[in-house]
Amino acid sequence: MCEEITPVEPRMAAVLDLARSAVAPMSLAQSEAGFDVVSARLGARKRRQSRNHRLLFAGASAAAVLAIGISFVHFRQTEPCQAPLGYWVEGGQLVEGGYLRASDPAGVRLRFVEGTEVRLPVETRGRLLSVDDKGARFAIEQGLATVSVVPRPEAQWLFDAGPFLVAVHGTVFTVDWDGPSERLDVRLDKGLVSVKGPLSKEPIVIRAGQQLSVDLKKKEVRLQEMETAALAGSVVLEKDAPAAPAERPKEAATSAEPRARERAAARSWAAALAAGDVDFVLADAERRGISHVMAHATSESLAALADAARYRRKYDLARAALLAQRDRFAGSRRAEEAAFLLGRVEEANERASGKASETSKAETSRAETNKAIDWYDRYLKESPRGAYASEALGRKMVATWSLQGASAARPLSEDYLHLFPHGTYAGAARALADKP
Amino acid sequence: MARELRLVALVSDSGKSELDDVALAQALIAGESWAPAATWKRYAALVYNMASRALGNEYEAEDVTQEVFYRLFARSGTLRKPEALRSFVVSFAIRILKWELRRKRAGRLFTLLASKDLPDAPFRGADPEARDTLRRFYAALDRLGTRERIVFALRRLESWTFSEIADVMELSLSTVKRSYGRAEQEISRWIVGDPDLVGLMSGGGRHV
Repeated sequence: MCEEITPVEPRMAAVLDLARSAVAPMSLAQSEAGFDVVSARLGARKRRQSRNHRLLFAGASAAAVLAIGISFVHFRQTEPCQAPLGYWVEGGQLVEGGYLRASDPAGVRLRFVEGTEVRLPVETRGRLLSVDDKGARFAIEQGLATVSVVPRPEAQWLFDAGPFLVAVHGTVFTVDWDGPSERLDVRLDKGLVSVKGPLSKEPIVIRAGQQLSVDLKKKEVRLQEMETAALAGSVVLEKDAPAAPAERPKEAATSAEPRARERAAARSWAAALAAGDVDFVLADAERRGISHVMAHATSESLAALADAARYRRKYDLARAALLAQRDRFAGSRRAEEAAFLLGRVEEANERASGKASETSKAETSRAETNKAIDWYDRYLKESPRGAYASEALGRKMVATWSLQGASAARPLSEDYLHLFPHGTYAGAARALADKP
Repeated sequence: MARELRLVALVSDSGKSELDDVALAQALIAGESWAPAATWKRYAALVYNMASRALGNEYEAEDVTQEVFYRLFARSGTLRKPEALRSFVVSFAIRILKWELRRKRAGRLFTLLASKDLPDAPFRGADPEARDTLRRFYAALDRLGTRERIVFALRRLESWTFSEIADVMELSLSTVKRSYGRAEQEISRWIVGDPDLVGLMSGGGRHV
């Protein structure tokens, strides 16, 4: 029974890893629904058997079944309204006091049956305070949390961050509380949240695409567009503000018409991409003029264009959009991610450059793989805990393997297995580590 | 009773889940009302994972999981070795998977689905390239015989040993190895020969 699984060809190992990782574990909601179906079928089966065996008492049996059915329906109708939401923890555990303790280097995730999710990196300290049928209350004592709340009628999700209380409806946002410096940052990707706390008597409303930064020591409240925040000169909308600042950002936003138009384009490109309409993004970019887009498009637009170009294998265009992202929005999360994506583009381009002669093909291939490795290195340096860290290290390992052989790639496989034992490239890393 | 168990399970394991397999199997045989919920809780995820990886479709995997446990609970009286509950569950799962794959294969023949058509696998995640690679992978698996496909899936997606596969499928070790060899040859041929596959070794991988 301790027979070893022999390693397979690396490309097959990677396909198998992809197949393994594509399967999400059975959720609690799936599990509960599945068991309900099985129970109902077994109940029906029992009833059928009972009917066959007790024909003489058919009337009485039917009445009993009906009564059970009615009480079951009644139970089903009333119970879910009062039962607290189910939840489970991935990548860690819930310990005494409701604290989440990460066991996975990628952090810990608290997931609720209706789809809401709270992600905490290893260094964040947070705890679950209470759960009811409408939502939960969660305290972030130190660090960053990424939250995705599924919208539901009457849902109530509350997040304490130091002296602040973030009330959430349906949204995706990150909240970062730094206790020692008394600084709060809330970034809202979509939806609407309101933040109550010192420095403002009324709740501060944050809309999609905005970032709220509060510095209690300096008594400063900033509400700004996220892309503006990525640039140097952000606008201070509130400082030591007593009144509701919710409507102020609108004024700031309307001061720059062209920027607003670019933002509208960004939204439509992102929406088109999400709907799978890749060609619309490319055609619209052509219509606006590629050089104009590169010089003036928002960060979100450039990201959408780069994705669309990659999907259509227009690698030169993808590279240009990603380089513009890094150049114009240096220091932003998208600019960091562009480094990883540039690595992917170089690798993909290397595959596509099969038209050259055999000798020049080999040289081009080596050069492009080297460039890809450089970009992966840069990404890992800029974002060692970034969303693509596992991918970047895995790709670097595979690229090094193909370029310099197994012995050069083996230390990377060891690093990978240490950092991401269940990552997408773990199979390939193990195959490499086992290779004589 | 089932509801109570589920609610308790949201926070921590109940005492029932600490039962060993023998006690759980004995409770199933005796028709204890809580035993199906406890068995489901312990093994449903295992069966679901196995089915979704083998079939490449989470909706079909849900159906298979339900079918496995429906049949298992309906026939729990036939369990003769309480210490072999896990094997009992897995045997049911393999049987239902075989049946499902044969049904799909027959369906494809009757509907004359062209071999180049790709199955509509609703994998989660928004990456179209990864979904495309997986569709092609499962289309290649669709070309395998039922036995080869299950052996390959258990070996490579579940990391089972040949002996374990032979035991649960009630086949000889040599038959399992031959089936696996044929399957691996076919899948390797697909990986090498598919011009549209963005090969992982040469730069595809888990696409972003």
